[in-house]
Amino acid sequence: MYYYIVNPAAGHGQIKGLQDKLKQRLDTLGISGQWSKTTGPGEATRLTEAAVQAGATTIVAIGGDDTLNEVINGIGTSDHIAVGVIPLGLRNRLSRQLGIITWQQACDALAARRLTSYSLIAAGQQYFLSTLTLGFETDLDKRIDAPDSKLTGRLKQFTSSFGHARRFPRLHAVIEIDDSYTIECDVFSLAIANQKFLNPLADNQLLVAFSEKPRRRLKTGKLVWQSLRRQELTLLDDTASNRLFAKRVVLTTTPATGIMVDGKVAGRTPIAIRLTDRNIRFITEKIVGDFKRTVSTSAAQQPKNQSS
Amino acid sequence: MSKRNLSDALSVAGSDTIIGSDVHVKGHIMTDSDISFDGHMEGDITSQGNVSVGVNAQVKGNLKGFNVVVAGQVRGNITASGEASVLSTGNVHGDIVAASLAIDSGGIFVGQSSQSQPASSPTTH
Repeated sequence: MYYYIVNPAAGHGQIKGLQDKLKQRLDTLGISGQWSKTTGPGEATRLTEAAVQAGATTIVAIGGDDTLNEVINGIGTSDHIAVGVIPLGLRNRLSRQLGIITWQQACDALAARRLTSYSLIAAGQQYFLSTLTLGFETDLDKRIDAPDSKLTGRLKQFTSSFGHARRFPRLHAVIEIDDSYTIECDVFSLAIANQKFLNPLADNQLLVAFSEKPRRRLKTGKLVWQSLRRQELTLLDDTASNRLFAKRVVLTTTPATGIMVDGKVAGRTPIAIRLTDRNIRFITEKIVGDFKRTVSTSAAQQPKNQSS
Repeated sequence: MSKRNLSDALSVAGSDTIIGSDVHVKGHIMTDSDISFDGHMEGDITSQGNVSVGVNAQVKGNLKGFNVVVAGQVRGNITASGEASVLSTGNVHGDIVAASLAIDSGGIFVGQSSQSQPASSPTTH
């Protein structure tokens, strides 16, 4: 049984103009089901719990990252439920990472029902799928809903964000890794990502990436511009000044700071983050062949016949 | 960055640990892959891959890896299944056990060295 949970506020009420077309498309594909609308934050979790109780086999979040995250947190320990997403609104990093860009593509993906199981990450009492962030990029995410489509608007956003980056207060972090070692440093931006979710061929572990405040204006400008383009987090590319891997991270900052989890504001530091053995099956458009196995630099440099 | 570029970035050097300067670490870092360390360390670094200690690094502890390259300061012992190298900016006070040892002109090594049986390749993935 399909159960659709709609966030009517997503994309400033985007569902209003779309609902009939969407229902018709789902009906044509033979995957119509029960619909519910959320009335506020946290409602999607409660609706998901109710849907699981009622015997739903597929729960679809219609909205942005926060709607999908609430659905994830409502699944509980049920391992037979599949989760899908129809992206609406401006914050859809998760659905992009699942390979789903438009609502039409999402409907086709739901019908194709290609399932991939992902481990969830626990952050305090909540679960998330992809990335926890704090620092400047998180702050930017909260301040700016979406990059302006016009160049003049984008430049205005850039100028204001650049000034903000230069004035961004010092954040001292203590990061405990796997009860094995502790890192202390000043952090400008930090991300903890589910590596296997980002790359299905990678090891199942947390990728911890963080950077100090850029010293040069040019580097600051580049970081701000890339963040505003709303592509993947700049920290998760290969230019992060620090990256390491863990199963468990305890994060403390001075002063305490807000964190975002899968694009949703979700508490403050200190916080413990760990890889769990709770798996959820997602309907995805990701093709494993698009990814490369992670290798260390030395292994990559060896001649092929010597690689392990 | 497109999905493909992010995937590329995560794949090559995607499993290497990188710790930059201005970072202070206490404890024991253990990793299956290569590690580049340029911070301040009190404790050991153990890798099944290569260990690189950068020019800004200050390590008080032991290093163990396949190839170990030191461009910074190390107060501790080094064990390398392959080659141990002390570069021109490197400064090592401790013993080195390695299949081969190279000390560049300008590099400082104070300690004892001994040779081990060479291993075939790093056991990284």
